[in-house]
Amino acid sequence: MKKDPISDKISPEKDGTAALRRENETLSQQVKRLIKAESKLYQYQEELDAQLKEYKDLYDLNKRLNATFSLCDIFEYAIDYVIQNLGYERGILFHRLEKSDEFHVCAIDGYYDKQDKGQVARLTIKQDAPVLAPLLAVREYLICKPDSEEKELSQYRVKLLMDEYFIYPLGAHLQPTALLAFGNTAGKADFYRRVSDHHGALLSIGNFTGAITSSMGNCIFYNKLKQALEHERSAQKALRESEQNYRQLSEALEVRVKETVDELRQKDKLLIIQGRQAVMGEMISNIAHQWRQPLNMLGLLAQDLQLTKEMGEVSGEAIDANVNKTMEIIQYMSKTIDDFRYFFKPDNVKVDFRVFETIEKTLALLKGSFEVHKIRTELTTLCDPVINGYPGEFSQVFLNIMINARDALITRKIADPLISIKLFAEGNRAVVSIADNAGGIPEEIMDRIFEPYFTTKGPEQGTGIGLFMCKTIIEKNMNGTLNVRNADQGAEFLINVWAAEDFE
Amino acid sequence: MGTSVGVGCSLKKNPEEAGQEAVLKALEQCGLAKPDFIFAFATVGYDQQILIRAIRSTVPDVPLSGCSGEGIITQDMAAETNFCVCVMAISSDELRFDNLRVKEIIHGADLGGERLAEDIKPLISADNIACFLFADGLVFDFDPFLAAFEKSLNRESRLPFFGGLASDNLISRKTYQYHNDEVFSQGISCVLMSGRGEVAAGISHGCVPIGTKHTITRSKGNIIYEIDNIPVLELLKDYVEEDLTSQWNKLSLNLCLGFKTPENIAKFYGEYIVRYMMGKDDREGCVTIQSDVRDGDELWIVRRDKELIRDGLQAISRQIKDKMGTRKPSFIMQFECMGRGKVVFREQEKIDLIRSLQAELGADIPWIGFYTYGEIGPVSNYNCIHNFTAVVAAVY
Repeated sequence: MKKDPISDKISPEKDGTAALRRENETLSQQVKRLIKAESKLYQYQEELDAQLKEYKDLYDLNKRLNATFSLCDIFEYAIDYVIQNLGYERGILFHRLEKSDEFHVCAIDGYYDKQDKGQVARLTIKQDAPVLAPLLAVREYLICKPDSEEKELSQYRVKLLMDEYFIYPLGAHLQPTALLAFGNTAGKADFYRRVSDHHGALLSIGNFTGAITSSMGNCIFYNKLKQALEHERSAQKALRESEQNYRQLSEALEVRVKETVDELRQKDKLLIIQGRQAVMGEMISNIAHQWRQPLNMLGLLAQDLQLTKEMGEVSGEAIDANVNKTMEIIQYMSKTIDDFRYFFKPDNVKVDFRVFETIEKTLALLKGSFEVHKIRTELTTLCDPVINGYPGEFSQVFLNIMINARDALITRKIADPLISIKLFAEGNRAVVSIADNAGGIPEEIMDRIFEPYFTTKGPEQGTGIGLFMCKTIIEKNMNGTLNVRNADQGAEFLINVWAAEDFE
Repeated sequence: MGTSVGVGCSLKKNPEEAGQEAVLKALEQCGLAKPDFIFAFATVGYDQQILIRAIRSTVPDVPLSGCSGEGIITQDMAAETNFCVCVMAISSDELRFDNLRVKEIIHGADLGGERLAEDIKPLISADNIACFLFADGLVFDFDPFLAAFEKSLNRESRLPFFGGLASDNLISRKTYQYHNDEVFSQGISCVLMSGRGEVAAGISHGCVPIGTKHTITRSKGNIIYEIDNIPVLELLKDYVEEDLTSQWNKLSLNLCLGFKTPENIAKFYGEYIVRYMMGKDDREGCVTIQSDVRDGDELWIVRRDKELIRDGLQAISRQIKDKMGTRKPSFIMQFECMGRGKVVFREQEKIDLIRSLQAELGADIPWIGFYTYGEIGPVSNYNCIHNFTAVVAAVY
């Protein structure tokens, strides 16, 4: 600054000019600072817009991902996003098939030359390929920059037809479901987002691959769940069908069983009838034997009446006495017939009947036969129970056992043949014990004597259905038991049936 | 029949699919199977040859002109990405479109002007309306071109030029011009529009000077070596945070040079005519602009101003409507400086701004344009090149 040589003072004019210059310089610097700030502002604006666009793109991507449960769709969306939104030139998505150790190309974009596209479409990468080793170990991604010299990565430049690229695993890191490779060729890289490990770029890609991985996980889980549900539904359907078949079979079986049971019952009835008919001859023989003496008596009474008339001694008293005696004999004979009829009366319905009465009537039928062979019977009754069932059938059982005992006593020529019959109670059950002194049943046949068509009497005398029929009647028709054992002197049969009413 | 126009665009990255999608949409919009003419603008990410082939194969033998831009503008979008394309299909019994091209203008813009004039002469008639010019923004020097063209054409009334300089998204490597099946660089694609019709245009920049006046102290043609006896790059480095080389793209968009507007157009254009520094030479410390200067020319360093840009677009709308009156345009072409796009506005701000202009002039008017390295449009009947400017031409 120039000074006044005389006064050695700065002139006011020059002072003002200098001040203006300083001010001008200050303003100039401020403008420059403002321009720099404005430049920064524009830069931040652009970055902010890019970030907002990215958030919107991610939002849109998420919407698309949320609307699908198809892995193919997800892969297409992923590749489309890499090209259209992240701004890389080329992208390839490799998918590892289930239970496979190879990644196959399943989605491609950015290869607009058919030959290039065909070449990369055939690519496969083995899971244990050396290039993937760092990825499957610790690294989040593989990056091959233009200046990368790593041997394995450089080799893949030729395979992927990209001079700079990323490879990201999608899915579980150690066993990724897919690999996403994307990047650029050298010639076109200026027009695309460069492959760089800049924080912002990695954040963008990380957000994107995170969304894809998550969506893939959901998709796989959903499909597995769906498959499991379908499997369960199929199993339930099969079970329902099986149950239905079982029910149908069960119903058919029930019908069949019922038919068979009915058939068997019918057979049993027939057997019972046959059994009864078998003893009918025996009965008729007994009746004939029982009637023989009365018939002789009737004959004698008739002759006595004739002689009395010839002798002229007919009197009213004599006639009355003769008639009374005759009627007495006829009543006896009639009773024998009644007993016989009782035995053969058809059993259509179950009724309550007294066991003692049935035994007594049956014994009456056998009386003649037993007397002929001097067989004694002893009946001991400790109670008088009433049971529910078919009295004819019960009588048939008792009769069969008595006849078998009689036959054994006769066959074995027992000196003092005796059949002891006891009627007693066991709780609410009535028990009839029929024991003979014929020496018992050989142990070797003890288990077989109730089998149908088993007989010890030989083909002419025995049918082999008697005891089988007895067991059937007692156990099936009367819900009781019929057992046999060897007692002191012979065999003992035990008929055990529920009493129809309480008794002491 | 009149004039039927349809516009289609695509953001697909596959050039074949993108080209087909854009042209098919354009045809669908105007209901045409085979138009008379196609304008196409696209960004440089695409394989340009495949892209143009895809368009041409969809409409075989239909003349096509256009160029690469930094982005595209239609009624649907204002996209500034490396992969966007727009197509305008025109069919008209009122308007004719004759397309021409000049290659290798690197050998001299004046030669380019002369050659174009020679080619256009046979087409000159009384009903010529305007020329649409799409030139390589990396090598084009407008002033010698215009001078040579007008001199060679020797036409009484000036043929108005509208258009933009092809760009390559700040890669500064190669721009592309389209002429039918040809895709080339360092050339001019030109369309002469003739027939019954007029053009109403509006032009506006949005820059204000910062600091004091400067003077060019050494220059040659469109190269400025020194300002105020200081190498230009030396002067500019104070305006960037980091080194100039790495920040050049940003600086050349944020700052430009403003020259006093010539008297003959100052009334309609404003105080300053703005020039974009399209290139630099670090060794020489010089910059290149898109018109010629002389030593002693005064200049100001200018910056964009959002408010001025907004006001300028409203002025454009007024200028066009004043001329058209109640008539409705058949189509509108917009040549917007790339420095007025995403580098200065938020994405939504930019879209809202363009939409407001479109709404003013007609939201249903077929509209096509691109982001340029330089805009061409006449001011007061003088053809001019502009920077940081919007040139909007409504054909009605």
